[in-house]
Amino acid sequence: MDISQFFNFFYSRSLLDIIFKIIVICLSLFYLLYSFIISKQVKIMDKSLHDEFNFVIFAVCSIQTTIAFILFIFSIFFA
Amino acid sequence: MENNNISESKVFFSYLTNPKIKFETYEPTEKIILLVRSHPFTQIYWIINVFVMLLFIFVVNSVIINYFNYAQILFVNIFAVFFILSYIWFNFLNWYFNVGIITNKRVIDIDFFNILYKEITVAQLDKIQDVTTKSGGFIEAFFDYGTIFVQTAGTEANVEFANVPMPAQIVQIINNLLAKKHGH
Repeated sequence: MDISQFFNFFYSRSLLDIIFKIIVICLSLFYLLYSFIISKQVKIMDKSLHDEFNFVIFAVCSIQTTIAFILFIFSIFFA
Repeated sequence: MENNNISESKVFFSYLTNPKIKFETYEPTEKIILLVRSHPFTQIYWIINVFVMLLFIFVVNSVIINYFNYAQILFVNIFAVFFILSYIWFNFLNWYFNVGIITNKRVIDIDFFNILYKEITVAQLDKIQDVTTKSGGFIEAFFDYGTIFVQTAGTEANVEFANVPMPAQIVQIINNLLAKKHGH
């Protein structure tokens, strides 16, 4: 590979796409971890303050974790 | 009003009388009289932030359309929307679980700092020496909210209810409980 090919690779579309994919996977993984932490923390919060409507909060946390997982899978295969 | 057992909520669930809740150190013989959260108006800053972030997405979309393909733009928007929804959820949880509780035995302040750090401060009614309220400024007077300080004797921790609605009524409830406790 000569020097011009090297620079062409760095300015090419494919490299940008690879960088984008890596960023998207990292972000979706981070979001998945975040949603797990929030779910775990909500259980602790529920012990501190238990209300009859807390099931709604648990439901939202479950939806968030499910979406985060789907997003992670999508980012691996479709980004 | 506070003497009956009917649950009642005011000011968007930030002032609940006789709430049906349980907390970590709840004793079966204990009667929960009042639960307070920060006044909803004090949460306005993050609601404004949400609108600013939504506006930012529109601006970013008009710029990135020249540099990314449609699939990438879709992912950028999905992440932006999830970031905003997470921000809303995070702030809501912070508001919902940061409460002050008044029972017939004690005054409890449950605080979660950034959701992750928990701090529970308890003041037994017989250790309370002074209850003061601080409410100043046009907005606090207009929306009727303020901060309540419950000072205790000796090395007991002081309790603070920040930006709670109807502070005068809360102080009155605590004073009534203190009067009952001390038999006045």
